[in-house]
Amino acid sequence: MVKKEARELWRSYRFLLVPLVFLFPAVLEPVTFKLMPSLLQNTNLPPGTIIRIPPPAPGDVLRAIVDQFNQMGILAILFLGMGTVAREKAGGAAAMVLVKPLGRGEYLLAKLAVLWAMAAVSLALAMAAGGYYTARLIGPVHPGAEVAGTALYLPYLLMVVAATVLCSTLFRSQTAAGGAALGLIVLISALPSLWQVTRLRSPAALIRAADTVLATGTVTTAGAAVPLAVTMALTLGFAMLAVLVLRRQEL
Amino acid sequence: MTAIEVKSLAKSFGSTQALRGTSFSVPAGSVTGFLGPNGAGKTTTLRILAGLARADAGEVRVAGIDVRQRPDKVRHHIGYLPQQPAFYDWMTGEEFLRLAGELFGMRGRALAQRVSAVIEQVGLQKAARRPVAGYSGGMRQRLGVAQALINRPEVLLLDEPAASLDPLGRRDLLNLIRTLAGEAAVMFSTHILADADQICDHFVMIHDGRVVLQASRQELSQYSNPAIAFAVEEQDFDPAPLLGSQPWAGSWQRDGEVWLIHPRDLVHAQAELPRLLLAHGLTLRHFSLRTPSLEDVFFRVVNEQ
Repeated sequence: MVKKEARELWRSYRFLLVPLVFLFPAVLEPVTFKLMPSLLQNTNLPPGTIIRIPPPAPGDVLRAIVDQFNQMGILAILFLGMGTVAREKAGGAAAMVLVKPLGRGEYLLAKLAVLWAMAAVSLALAMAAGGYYTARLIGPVHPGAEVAGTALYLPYLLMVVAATVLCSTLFRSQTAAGGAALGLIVLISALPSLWQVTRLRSPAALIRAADTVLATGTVTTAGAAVPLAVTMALTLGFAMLAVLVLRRQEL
Repeated sequence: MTAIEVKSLAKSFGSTQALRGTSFSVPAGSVTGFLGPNGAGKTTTLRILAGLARADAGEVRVAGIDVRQRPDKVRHHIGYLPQQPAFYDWMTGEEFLRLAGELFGMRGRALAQRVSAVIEQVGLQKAARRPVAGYSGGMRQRLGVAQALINRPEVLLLDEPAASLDPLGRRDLLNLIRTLAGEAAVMFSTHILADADQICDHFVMIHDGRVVLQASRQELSQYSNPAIAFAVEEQDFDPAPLLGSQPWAGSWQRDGEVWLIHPRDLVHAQAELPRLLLAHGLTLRHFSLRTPSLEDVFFRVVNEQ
């Protein structure tokens, strides 16, 4: 089934969608930071206006790239994953394969594995491109910090994938699955503001830890251990819940 | 030997009872027609047999395995074609069959040979390497049958397999099912009784969630006594006052222009009916014997219920 999932992404060209969405800000942000002073100079400002923009630090650019992933990247993952189970259940293809000796857990894990791989490769490619253009246009990038920051951000993306697949399992409609997944991600992101106790423990804290590593250029896992564990536990929980739900569903 | 054993099967969807204590069995190697009107419970029963839906109550054994306890084990022994087969439309027919074979653990040469064999069996050679998205309804149905056969199943469950086929496709499919007799127990649902009449050696008739008749072709002959078809000139004729008191009359029903009597005593009925009609001043326009079709048997059994 893993082979089938991978081939489906390849044949439908969906394999291009997520990497391109991730690459877009990774290339655009360093260029924007570099050109910002010139852009401002060429706007029609009143005579005598003085704008002081400190030269951007490479860490600020990398952090801005990750911020973009948090919006466009996550939407791309939701778009790609929301129909992965819902579409097959509604269309009947799930029943055609699950009536054969294929465990429902196996079926879901194949989907998760391919989507996880796609998210990981997209992030790695985008951060490599972002690091390259930042180094070329802004200033030297600390490779260790970039790798550490990427590694800290990756579990968050994997959790988004698992949440999307869970919602796709819960619903027969792709739109409902996408809406529910978006709501769940928004809720997880907003949790620290709604419930103070989770401020240093929620997945959002993991993004902050990744931001800190990228911005300061220092490899540190300070403050990352608990949110990392929580994020991984949520990922595992979403995946297991999806399997349990699918096992109970009639097709 | 029994391929399928169903006892007191019950299934509800909300307040709707789809199956109300359904019981029947299917002999190994037989071709069994699962007959009934739309909404009778045929698809629900087949989905439970295939392990895709859960029964609320009752026992289900397929190939000797308890479906409710071991649905995973049953899957190795069955082939299933749903009413509207769905595929991964971006795949070619051959690729889908390879995937189906791989799910049964087939690999390499054995898989390639089996895929070629089922493609030939259903007559899909020309289209096998084309994407399923471009298949006609009939081609999709053939591919559906092919994927159900890939594992040489002991029990083949086909839900309305001929429903979307043209007359030629229907004939080919029925011939294919006929050739499978002996290799597998084939249970196929249909509301087209003529199809079942052509190829089945066993019949299970279901109506309103209950099995109303289970019989082999020989056993069915007891329901196949000829009926008397007659018509009178009088348009407002009502047979009830006339026939209700006759011991030979049995049951009757209207069938278009004529009335059909399923007599208890055919010899007496043949002799007495014309006399009775004439004695009551009625003008006999038509009088004949009719050998009942499977459809007649079905309606008779349902009426008797």
